[in-house]
Amino acid sequence: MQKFVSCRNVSMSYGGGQSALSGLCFDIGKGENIGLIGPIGSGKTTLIRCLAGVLRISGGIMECCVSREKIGYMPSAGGLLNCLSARENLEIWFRARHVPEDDRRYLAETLGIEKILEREAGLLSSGMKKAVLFACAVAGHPPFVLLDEPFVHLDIERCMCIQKVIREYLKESTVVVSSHNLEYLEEITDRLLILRNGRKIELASGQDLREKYGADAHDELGKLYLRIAADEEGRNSKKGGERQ
Amino acid sequence: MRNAVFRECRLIWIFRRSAVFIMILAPVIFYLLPYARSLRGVTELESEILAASGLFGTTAYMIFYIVYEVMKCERESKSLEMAAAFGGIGKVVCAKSAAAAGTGLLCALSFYALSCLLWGRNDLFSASLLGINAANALIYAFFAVSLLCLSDGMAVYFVIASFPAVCLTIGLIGENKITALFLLAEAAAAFAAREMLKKQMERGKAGWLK
Repeated sequence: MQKFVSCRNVSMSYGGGQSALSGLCFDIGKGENIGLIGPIGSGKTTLIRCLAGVLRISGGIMECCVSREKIGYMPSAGGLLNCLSARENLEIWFRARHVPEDDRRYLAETLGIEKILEREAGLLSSGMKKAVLFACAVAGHPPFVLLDEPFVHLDIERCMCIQKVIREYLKESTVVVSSHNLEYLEEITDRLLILRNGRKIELASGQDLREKYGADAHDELGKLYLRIAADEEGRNSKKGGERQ
Repeated sequence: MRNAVFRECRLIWIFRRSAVFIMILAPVIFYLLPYARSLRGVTELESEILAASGLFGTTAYMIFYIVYEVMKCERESKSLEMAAAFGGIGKVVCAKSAAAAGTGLLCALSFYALSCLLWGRNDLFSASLLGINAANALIYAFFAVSLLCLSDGMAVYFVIASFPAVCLTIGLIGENKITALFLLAEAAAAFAAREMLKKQMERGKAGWLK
């Protein structure tokens, strides 16, 4: 598979404080979908922001095959201009990416946002805001899509719509999605990148992870993730003990 | 860049009513100034000086109003992050500055037209005066946007809000050397703000991400 994103020893720290990312090494292939999982504060949002070019890495090398104009980015919070209508917000991105009429209609219909397009974005419910924001991020088939917590505030139906868009509309794009909803994430991603304290613990498909950790093929990924996290915790405390 | 400017224009369009109100009212106020002064027995100022100060003052005020409203909207919506991801914060700042300066210069144009009508003269504004005003508009807009990206603290608003009054005073002084010195200082401040913005990005503590 052609290499699309390459990270070598990537580190990032906020204002001289504790490092948010440290020694990250991984590659993402072209057209591959990667799921980012990890506890709060593990560096998921920081990694996505660095990949989007919103934040600069403090060390290492991060290479991406596309220019930043071709990245579709959905932040975890905010994003829409509250004083504009949903349609006007979408129009900014449709125009920037020369999105054809068919695509505009497809996104509005699939995500179920046609009826709220004329409403002011600031007055929309959190779920509707997320759906509009998602449409803004993926409009025009960007080759690289970064989605930070796209399933938060959404109902089951809308979550499935988002999964459908990622599977159908973004089938040729490389997608990185962070979420705490492992069930949804496993369905749309090829591999999962598990982060903890800014470090990579695993990067493998759900199936490979189950095999590696001796779990049943139908075992819930959530339980498996907790086991991997506990193993990592144990390894860390053992290392700490050896050093002392 | 064109798309970034389009986004800014779309944002500025929301405040069109207030902007038109400022464009119409500002020249009237400046036209009334000499009368107000003569009522208090103060020596009347030359029309050229009043025209220059009015031009500087109204342009700067319009830029302040636009930058303040647009940045308030961006901060409340937390929308700068997504815009910055598309073309980088540098491009966003440049687009915002260009759009705000453009609106300021539209206000200057309105001031020019209404002043010519009210004073009945069209020789009040020299080409150099219009050029200096355009340069001042661009630098001030860039400085204000950069500063508001760095922080939305009280001190920042105070500095930005004081500029229209400073510009008005510079116009009233009417000294070329002082005007040039002011423009240089303003450009240095804008450059410093841009460098601080870059540093914030490197340190991972970008004010505009909050």
